[in-house]
Amino acid sequence: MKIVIDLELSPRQKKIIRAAVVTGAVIGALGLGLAVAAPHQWMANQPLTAADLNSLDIVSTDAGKQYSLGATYKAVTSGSYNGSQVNGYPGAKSVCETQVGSPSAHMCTGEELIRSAEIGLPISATDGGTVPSGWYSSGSRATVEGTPTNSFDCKGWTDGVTHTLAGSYWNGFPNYGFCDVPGPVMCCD
Amino acid sequence: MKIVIDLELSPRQKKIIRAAVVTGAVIGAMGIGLAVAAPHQWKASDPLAAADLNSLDVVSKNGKQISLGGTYCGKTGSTKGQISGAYSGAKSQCEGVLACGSSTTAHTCDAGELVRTAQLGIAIDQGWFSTGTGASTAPPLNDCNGWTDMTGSYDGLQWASGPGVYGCSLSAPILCCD
Repeated sequence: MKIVIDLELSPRQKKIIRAAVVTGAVIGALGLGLAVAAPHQWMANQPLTAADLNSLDIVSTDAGKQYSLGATYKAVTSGSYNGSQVNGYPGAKSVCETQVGSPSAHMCTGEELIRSAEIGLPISATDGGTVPSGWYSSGSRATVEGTPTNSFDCKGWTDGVTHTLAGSYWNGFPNYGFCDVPGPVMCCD
Repeated sequence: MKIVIDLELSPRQKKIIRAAVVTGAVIGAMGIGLAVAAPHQWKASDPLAAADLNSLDVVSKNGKQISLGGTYCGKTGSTKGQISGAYSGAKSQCEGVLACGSSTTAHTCDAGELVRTAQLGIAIDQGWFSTGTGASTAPPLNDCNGWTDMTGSYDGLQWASGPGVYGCSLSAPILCCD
């Protein structure tokens, strides 16, 4: 059976389709549902599987960890943590995996919270009612006068005792929290 | 562009595909630009639809769409740091910017998108952009308190050949990306 499709595509879409044409096996999907080490590099005559397509927005490591791209807000953790109790960036992701029930869930970044607020997910102070609050990662550092003197993800989520250090803390808007004060973790997926 | 796909299909799959070809539904969906609820989780024997491909770089949730991997496309009229509707209101304004094609996926630029745009050599006007970061500066730097402040009690970032801190009582366009 032969299907002819005329398409006007973006370069990204052309790249994907070109790979599919070369392989000639678009819908021969294997349905494995397993993410492979990303990004997948297609080669000629290689089938385009359902697993490949599903992994396009997932970063997967050889160690079996997954991280979703283009994520939005999902939940705050039921537990509260000071700046070190999540045990670093990997630990923060782990508590979110458990809370959300997804292996690709992770601690939110500022960019993900902005995206969530822009599409109207109820996390902004202007939404009214109770909005979620908690730690999130910025991956940036600001040195300022006064207290706290430094804002940088509580030393990569390893400092839970120093009151002069801060991490990014969402309060319905971008804010900071003192690293020795416990709070929940904002999770995205 | 013409693409020819040879498929080995089961009778059931052939029936489905034949119906799609006859109705033109598959091809008719091309280019509509409507994203479906994302992310699509493909299963074996799922057809690869145009809508699926078009939604790969779009997040669709809550009845709204927002593009991923955006670059600067235009600016709104000038505003102080208080924007009606805050983040979602800023996106609505960007959706109406003609220079962005009145795109439903347009939104307020974030820092990563502007850095990407600058590295691509595309000119960027001066204006507000979102960071999602709260810094304990004086006054606090936090997207003008989530785009709710116009008093100068908070700061936000404007791109002016690079990121710069500005009081929220100042007026500037919102920079839009898509």
